[in-house]
Formats: sequence, C-alpha cells, structure tokens
Amino acid sequence: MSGVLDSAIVLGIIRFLAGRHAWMVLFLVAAVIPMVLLGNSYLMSSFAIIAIFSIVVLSLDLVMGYGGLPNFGVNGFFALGAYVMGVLAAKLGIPLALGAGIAVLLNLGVAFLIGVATLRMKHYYFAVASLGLGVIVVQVIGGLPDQTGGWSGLTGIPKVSALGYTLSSDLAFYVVSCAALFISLAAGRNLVGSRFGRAIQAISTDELATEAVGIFVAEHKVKLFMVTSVFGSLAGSLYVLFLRVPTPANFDVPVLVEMTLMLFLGGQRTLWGAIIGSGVMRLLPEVMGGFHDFTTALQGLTLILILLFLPKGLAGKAEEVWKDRLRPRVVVDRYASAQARNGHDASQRFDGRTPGEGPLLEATGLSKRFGGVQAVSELTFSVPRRKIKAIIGPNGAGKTTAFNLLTKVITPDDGYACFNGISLKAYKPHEVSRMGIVRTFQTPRLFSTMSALENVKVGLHTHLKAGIINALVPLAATRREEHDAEERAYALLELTGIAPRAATIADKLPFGERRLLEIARGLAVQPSLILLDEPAAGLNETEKDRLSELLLRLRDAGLTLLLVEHDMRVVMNIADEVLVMNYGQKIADGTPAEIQRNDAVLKAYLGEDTVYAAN
Amino acid sequence: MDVALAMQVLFGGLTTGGIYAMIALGFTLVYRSTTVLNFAHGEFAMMGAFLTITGVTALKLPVLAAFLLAVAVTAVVGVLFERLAVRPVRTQAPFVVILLTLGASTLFRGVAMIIWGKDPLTLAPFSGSTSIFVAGAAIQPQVLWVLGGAIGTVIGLSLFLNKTTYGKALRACSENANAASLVGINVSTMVLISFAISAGIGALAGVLITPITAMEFNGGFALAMKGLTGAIIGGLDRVSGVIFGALALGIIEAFSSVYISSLMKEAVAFVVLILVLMVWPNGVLARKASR
Repeated sequence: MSGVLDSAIVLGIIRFLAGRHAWMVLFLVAAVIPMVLLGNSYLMSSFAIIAIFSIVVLSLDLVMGYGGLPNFGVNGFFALGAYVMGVLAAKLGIPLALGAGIAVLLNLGVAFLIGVATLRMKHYYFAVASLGLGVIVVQVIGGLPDQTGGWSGLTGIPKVSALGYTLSSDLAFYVVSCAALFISLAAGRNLVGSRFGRAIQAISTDELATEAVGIFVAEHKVKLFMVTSVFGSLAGSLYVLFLRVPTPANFDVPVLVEMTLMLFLGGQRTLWGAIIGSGVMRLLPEVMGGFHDFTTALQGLTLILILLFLPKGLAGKAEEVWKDRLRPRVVVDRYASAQARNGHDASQRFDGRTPGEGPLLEATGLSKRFGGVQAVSELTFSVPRRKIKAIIGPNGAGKTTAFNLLTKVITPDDGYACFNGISLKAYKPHEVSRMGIVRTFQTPRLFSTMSALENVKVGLHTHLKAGIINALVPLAATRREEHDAEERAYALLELTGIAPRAATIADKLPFGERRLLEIARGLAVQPSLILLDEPAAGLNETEKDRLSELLLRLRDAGLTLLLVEHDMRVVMNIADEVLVMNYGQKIADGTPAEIQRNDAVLKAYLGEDTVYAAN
Repeated sequence: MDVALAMQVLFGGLTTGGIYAMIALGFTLVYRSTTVLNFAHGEFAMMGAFLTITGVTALKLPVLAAFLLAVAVTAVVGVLFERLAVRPVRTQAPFVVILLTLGASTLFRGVAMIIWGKDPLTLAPFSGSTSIFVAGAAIQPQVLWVLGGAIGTVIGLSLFLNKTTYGKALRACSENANAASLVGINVSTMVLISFAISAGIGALAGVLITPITAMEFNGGFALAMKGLTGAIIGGLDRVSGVIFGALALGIIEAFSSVYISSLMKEAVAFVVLILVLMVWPNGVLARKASR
C-alpha cells in the first residue's frame, strides 16, 4: 500500500494537490466534464441547479459548520434574493442588476435584525426561531398574490441580456452558475482562513474562551448571519432568472431540509462538500429514472447511512484521509521553516501599555454569593506590577470565583476591581481582555478543532485589522498582515517552547502542551496582566520546572502574573507575593517566607492540632 | 365581534391546539429523556393515520381495532427507530442527531408515498357528522373526539409520570441520566419506553385529526413543525408549558386566519414564536435557570 503511495506519479499528484491553487484547477476540470459529456441536453439544467444550490449550501456550511450556529433560516435569504429582484423587474421594470443589489441590501437588514433578535436564544430555540424566518418569508410571498403572483407563481421576469447576447439555454446558465459558484467558493475559502473566519470557528468551539481573548462574540455572530445572507441573496437572484416563473414552493421548508441534507452528506467544514452533497442529492433522481417515486425514501436512507457510517460526510472523510495520510508525505512543515523563525523577536516586553509603579490590579471588597454559599467575601488585595502573585487556599476557598469576578465572567454582588487605576465595573469580559487582562482556565479551554498556531492567531485577533471585506477579497495589505500574524504567533509558540507542534490540532496535543498553548494564546492578546488558573495541575516534575522557568522569564519581560496554584513547590519558588484564601476570605497576604510562618495559614492547611503541636 | 363566529373560531383553535399539544407532548417526552428533538416525530402521526385507514379499508377492521393496531405498530416503529438509528449516534454532536431524525423523517415520508401514494386520504368521522350546537357555534362530533383524546393523553401521561414506578424512573432520567443510572434505573430501557409512548401518542393524534383535515404523506411533517413551535413557545422542559404553548398557538392561528388573513396563517405562528422568544428566550413557562 505504502509502496503505491510513494511511487513518483502518486507523489507528484499529491504535491500538486497540496499547492495553494490546486482547487481552482480541480474545479474547472470538474465543471467542464458535464459540458463535454452532455452538451446542451436537458440534464444541463440539473447541473445548473446543482451549482446554484451549492452556493446556498456553502453559505450554510459557513454558518452551521464553521460557525456552529444551527441556522435553519437560509431559505429565507434565498427566497428574498429571488423575489425582491423578480418582483422589482416584473412589476416595476427595474433593471435586474439593480434589483439584485436592492435584494442584497434588504437581506443584510433582515439578517442584522434576526441576528440581534436571536442572540439570547440557545440551541433548539435558536434553530426553530431561525427556521421561522424562512417560513415567514415564504408565507408572506405566498400571501401577497397581487404583488408576487402568490402560490401560482410570478410571471413577467425578463431574460438577461448583455452585449447583445440573451441568456437562455441551460448550458449558458450552467456556465454562469459555475462562475458564480467559483467566486463563492473562493470567497468562502478566503473567509474561513481569515481573522474573521478564525474568530467564528473559535466561537463555535468555546464562547467563553473566545471572549477571554477579547473577541466580542455577539458582533461576530450577527456579522456571520449577514455574510450568509449575501450568499443566499445572490444565489436566489440567479435561481429566479433560471426558473423564470418562481413559486414560493421553490424556497419552502422541504428545500431547506434538502439543503441541510446536502451539507451533511457532503460533509460540513469543508466548503467543497457543498458541491458533492448537492450533486449527489440532485443527480440521484436522474439516475433513478423510472423509479422516481423512490427518490425521497432513498434520500432519507442515504442520509441515515451516511450519519451512521460516515458522520463527517463524503468530503469530510476525503479531507481526513488527505490530511492524515496523503498530504504529510509531501509537505514539509512550513511553520518550522527558517523563514518563519527569522521573523519576530520573541523577547517582547509586556508592560508597554501600563508603565509606572505601584499596584497594577487592586481589588476592593469583592463579594459573591451563590445561593447559600458565600463564595467570595470582602476580598481586598493588590497585585504589584511586574511581579508574580499566587493565590493559594484549600479547595472551595473561592480562588477560581475570584478570577471569574476579576475578568467579569460573573458580576460581583459587591466591591470592585481597578486595573491600572481604572475601575472594571462597567466592562464586559471581552473588554476586560482588551484592556490587558487575560486568563487561562483550570482545564485548558482551547479551540479544539484548530491547530496550535491558529489558536495563537485567534489570540492576536484584537491586534489585527482585516475586516470582512478584506477577508472575502484579501488584497496585498491583508495578506501581509496575515503573514505577519503567522510570524508573531510562531514566535509565541517558540517562547512557550511548543513551536514544533505548530501544525498539530489542539485536541491532539498532550496535556502539558495544552496548558502552554493556552498561555501562548493569552500572551498573543499582549496583556499586562495574566491570570493563570492552576497552571501546574496535571504536569509532571520536568514540565513544572519548564513552566516555572517560563513564568519567571515572562515576569522579567514586564508581565504581571496572578496565579491560583496548589503546588507549593512551584508557588514558593516563583511567587513574589502569596495571598491565602479560605472560605471565601483572605486569611493572609505577604511574601512566601511570611506566609510559611503564618499561624492562620498553618491552621487552614494542616488543622488546629498540628499547629499547637508545632508550637 | 360576532359571538357565534368567535365561538366557532375558538373551537376550531382548540381543536388544532389539542392536536398540536399531543404532538408537542410526544416531542417533550423524548426530548426530556434524551435531549434529542426528534424531527421524525410528525411521521408517527402520519403513520398512525395511514395504518388505520389501511386497517379499515383493506382489512375491513372496525375503526377501534384498526386504530389500536395502528398505534401499536407505530410504537414498534418508534422503538426500532430508536434502537437502529438514534442510539448509535446519541453520544455525538446534537447536530448529527437532529440530522439523523430529519433523515428518518424523509425516509418515512418517502416510504409512505410509495405505499399510500401522493393523494390525501381520509377516514369517516367516528361518530357521524351531525353538528352539535354550543353557544351558537356548530361543532362536528369529531372535534369532541380530538379534545377528549388530548385531555385523555394529558391525564394519562401525568398519571403515568407521577404515579407509576416506570413514570418516576423516566422523570429521574430526564432530570439527570447519570444519577438515575447510579440508583439502578436502566436508562436505555427508559429511553426506549419514551420513544414507544411518544410514537403512540403521535399516532393517536394523527388518527383523530384525519377525519377533519385528511392526511397526506407529508402531512406529519407540517404537524410536527406546529407541535414543535407550540412546545418551544411554552418552554420545552415543562409539560404545562408545552400544553399551554400548543393550545395558544392553535387559538392564535385560528383567530388570525379569520380576522387577519388565512394565507399567512403559517407565518403568524412563527412571528409569534420569534416575538415570544425575544422576551422569554427559553419559552414562556420555562423554569428559571437553576445555576
């Protein structure tokens, strides 16, 4: 087997496929095949529909696959794109291109409103509400027969003509639809690899961790909706030109269900799976020929079998084989190449934004009660600049709650914290992060589907500029920024000592390296203060030493560190100050030497008797 | 407002609301024991109706016998569906499970189309079609069957859940499956039972509504969407919320189709849904978040 895979021809093919633009060649070849085989036959109309549906399914992949939002409202955008342009052209004689533009604007507005309206809804509630959007659009179209032709269809849409050529044959439509699909696929690929694309993938895996690196989750969700609506709208406008006499049924719930099936059959998080899924679903009836009535049952059965035996979908499975078995044969890890290493100097300073002296963080009377438990009570302490402070205390002492209060993941009942002299009272978690406070979690919360390098790049989010337009069409400046970001991210992986793992998917890293990656991701935010929640937990002695050494190095580079830690050896070795908590209260605060002599601390840790015995 | 007309519309709304409530109860039963929203649930209603029709016309059975047989067969289909398709993917992402049930829904519809064709089929009303007059509104006897069926389902289900050992075990599973298995409850059996009961109630709803609205191969899916919408409006995690939401939806639909526009009846349901969820993101009667 491996002999075949290593033959010169196969390696050549793999090397070609690993190239950046291979997908374009593959797309063109695949697009030409039906034309050569079938010419201008009636089957070309099926292929045109496949191309148009692929665009919508691709947008579904962006929102559901990459964004993790169960948005079932895409058929609403699709229908609006079709009908707004169609009605404007048929009833008011407005040029088609202008109508399509108006439809896009309207869709953007609808997507914005629906995005904002559904922000607070979770899971199934969101899924069903978004499903409602599509139903409402379709029903309103059907319910306005005077304007839209109602359920019997809209007539009078003119044919497209440009430069004296009228678009009418199925073959011509196929070519136009393929061009539109090609552009959509390119835009989708750009988006997924962009700053915005990383943010939405991060959100889909862990919202809390995404906020912790300063990304405003709600904003990104709404924007993702809006992007999807543009794809849907333009595909709808194209589809209506093809249909000529659209009816609401062309956009109703069964179409949505079919598109969802297409996405999963093809494989989500691949983009090109959209084409595979649409192709299989739409060609199945043609292949079935005389057994037309069996199509629906067969589609359902196919989906069940795919989910049971190939849950990643056809394209998803292919990508897995490609990434795990084929591509590694030819790709030299590009991150490990000297070019990336020469870029950024890892010895950056972390106190540039917060110069000066005195405490960097001051907490005053922080309190939080959960039901009958006073988790944190009147907690007052300060963290000096460019020092390491450790919070220790028995389990349940309120240490992690204190972290959550400081980062505003939960709101204190009473008291407040000041960072660099500014009260954090009015700030949200992502804003706290942007001010320069980042945190890690007791159990590392990484973006599990992304590589180590991408995880760090998500951390760089707030320091990069590329917006959605740049993401869809990256010009030189954006590409430079991306390249620069890659180098900065790589430098941080070097700093934390996990650079050789740059291309490894976060999920597959050993535990100790996950902790380090989480720190690297936090450092990417360029914080002045980092809160580490039990950074040494689960590490072996060698790893603990490596960690201690890293934390000291960060302190010397100007970073202020506050850590919750159980491992006394680590704490006593590296901490400049130690705060001891028990039952939500501060029981001691001082240098490690002072703490080790403190009676209250000894009692809390060792019990009363031991202390008396010692005295 | 004309009182007789309003009464007429109210009874119409209660009838559809009752059916929605039965469908919605089937949804919650499975949802609470598995956190799976079974999108193939509506197909159980369709199966129940079609099987009864076959029993009456082809097998010449009395309606009651055909109906009981249909409910039983549908419950068996529910059990097989759970064992063969849902169980293998239950530990995977919720998306996968949703999709699987959507696939099953498509499969069931496709098979029904092959067996029973594309045209709507109907059943004779169980107690004739002589209207009864209540407060000036003419009511078909079948409406009383529907309302009786809905009330009977609610009572029967609450008795089962609150008074029987199996019912209590089922509730325990819905609260915390891990804890339930620790005290010796066989969670997978409970899941199976919830699928069987859910399918049975679905079939009952389908049979009862068919003499009024007829049934076609994709009629179950439409019912499921409505039942689900009602359940979501009220709040999925509570039986009282589900019934409230479904009845409210039926009544709102009935009044809007008479007083606003019958063409936009479907849209009204979802407009209500979105507005409700904007105010109460977990449904009107949802429990307060415990943590």
